[in-house]
Amino acid sequence: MTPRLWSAGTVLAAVGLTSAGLAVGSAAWFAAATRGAPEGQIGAANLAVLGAVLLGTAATVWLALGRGAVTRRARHLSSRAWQVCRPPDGSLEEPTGPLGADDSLVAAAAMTRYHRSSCPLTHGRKVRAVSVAERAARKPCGVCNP
Amino acid sequence: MISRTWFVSHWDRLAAVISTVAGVVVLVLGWQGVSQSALPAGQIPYVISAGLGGMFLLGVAGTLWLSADLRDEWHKLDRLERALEAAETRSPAS
Repeated sequence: MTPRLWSAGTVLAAVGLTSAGLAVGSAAWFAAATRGAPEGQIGAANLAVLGAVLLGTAATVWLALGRGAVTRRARHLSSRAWQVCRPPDGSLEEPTGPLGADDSLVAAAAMTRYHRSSCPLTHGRKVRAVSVAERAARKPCGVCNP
Repeated sequence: MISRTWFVSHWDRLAAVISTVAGVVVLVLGWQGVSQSALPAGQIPYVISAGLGGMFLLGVAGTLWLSADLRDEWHKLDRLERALEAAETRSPAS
């Protein structure tokens, strides 16, 4: 079965937040339009800002979860493609992402994760290049995504 | 020439363009309403409805356009996965 970009839960959350934002915004407009003095409209304006925040949250959640799903699937497919395309003599290591020319994979002895050498989390730390076996014992950094 | 199929497959991009135009129109109408009302009490409803409404429509346009980009990437991954499945069938991993 083909996976879906957005789950039913994500669609429900986005629709719910958007509906809530529109409802709050409409209520704010109605409250402001039925009051004759600006003093009475300030609360309605605050309510409108809340509606805008809800709408912005809906869009952010929608796009962030979609981007995350695409990234996870691309990584998964990349790993599967490596299993199919790797040379049978084991002469090459599995690629771990687009590394720059001076962007080797590093870790310190006490680190539970490995990083790109350019990762900000390695600045000021005594790190060294790690082998495939050392990487296997660690997780990839969630910041630099090696 | 843009065909009907293009409109069907790119409905979200089309909706994004329409939403952008609608957002700009709503903002201009709101500005006109505010400029013709001398009292702040008459202007604030325009700010809430047309100002925030126009921004909402522009936000919808951006979200739809970025969603369309994500959907395109997803369909590309679909094609890659099918190709990969065919390759795995030909040469199963040891």
